[in-house]
Amino acid sequence: MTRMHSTTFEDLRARLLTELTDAATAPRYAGLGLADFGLTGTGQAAPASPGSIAALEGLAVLLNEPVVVAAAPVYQDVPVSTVEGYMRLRTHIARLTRWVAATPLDQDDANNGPRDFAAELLDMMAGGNVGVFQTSVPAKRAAILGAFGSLAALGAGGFSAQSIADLEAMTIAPSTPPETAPHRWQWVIDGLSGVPGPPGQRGLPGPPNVADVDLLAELLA
Amino acid sequence: MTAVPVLLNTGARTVVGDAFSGDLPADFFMTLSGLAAGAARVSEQFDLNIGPPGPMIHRVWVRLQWAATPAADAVAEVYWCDWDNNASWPGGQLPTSDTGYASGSAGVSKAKSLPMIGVIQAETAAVGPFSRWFDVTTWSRYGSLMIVNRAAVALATNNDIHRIIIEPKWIEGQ
Repeated sequence: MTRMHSTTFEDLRARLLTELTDAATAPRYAGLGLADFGLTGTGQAAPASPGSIAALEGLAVLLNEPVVVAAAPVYQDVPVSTVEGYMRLRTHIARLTRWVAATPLDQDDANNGPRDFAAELLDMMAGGNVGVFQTSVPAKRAAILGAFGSLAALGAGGFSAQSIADLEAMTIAPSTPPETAPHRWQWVIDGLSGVPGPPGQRGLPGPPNVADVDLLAELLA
Repeated sequence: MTAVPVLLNTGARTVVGDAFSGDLPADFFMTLSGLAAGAARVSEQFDLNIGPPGPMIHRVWVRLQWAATPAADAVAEVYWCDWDNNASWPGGQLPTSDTGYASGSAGVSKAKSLPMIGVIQAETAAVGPFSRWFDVTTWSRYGSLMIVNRAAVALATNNDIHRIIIEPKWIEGQ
């Protein structure tokens, strides 16, 4: 095994422990706890076992493979006509019209909000000046989906949880393909140096470019 | 004056190449084994020893191999750094010992401030090894190399296949 200077070795160990326990990166190693790596959490090494060796092998693979990063969803505006088409195809317009007619307006009635929203929605679709639901704005998206959700909660117009999921899907722009980020070991060793030797003499190397089981076992012991 | 080639030991172990040892000050480290796609490595600072007055020409031989087949024309870039100790100049910003930088990191960007002496390029879609020489004129006794693997695959995990030899070429010896 590569002989690193103890300073390099300790720096590397600290980086690795941060990598394994940091909230941002630890989920990648969710199936493996510190105990799986032969650590007790008290600075004392737990006895090596076949299980811990298998865990180290799994860890080495995770550290050395590129990370696939799913792109964050991008919200888009949805034309009213798109929603209208969706609602007409599922007879929501007809059913919502009946529900509005059958639901009396009452000062104390909890249904008033959804009823008013339904009435506005039907008006909007009967022809008006509103062209799009501005669901590209997160706050507006939440309000609009919330209003549809209030209809679904009452079962008004035949809206269901599935309807809301379908409407939500309309607000998400076609996804960009996931990207590949450098494997995490690269970040564990990023910028870590070896130690220069005295003048005229060779120094000691920095951390290796690839994590291997032997090195991990030594680092985590 | 005897030419004193410097063998850059690119493996993880300390090996002195007898064929090149002569009276060279020392071999120097650069861990290239398994260098990831997009990642960079800076060599240990090397000592070219005291040369004649005036510039010295060094021939730098580099041989690299990839771990898997890269696209044809994929490259690893080779940069040279003459050393100074002023932190506002490139040499002062490089570490003096063998150091790795992650793909996309600020460390890899240090290459932008260094002169590229050339690239090792995959002649075909094959792992290699591919090799070439570069001639470097320098006034400095100390130097470093930086290699950035721009291919989409890592360099071979191998301590022996990657080799760098820096060989002085005295003007009067040409």
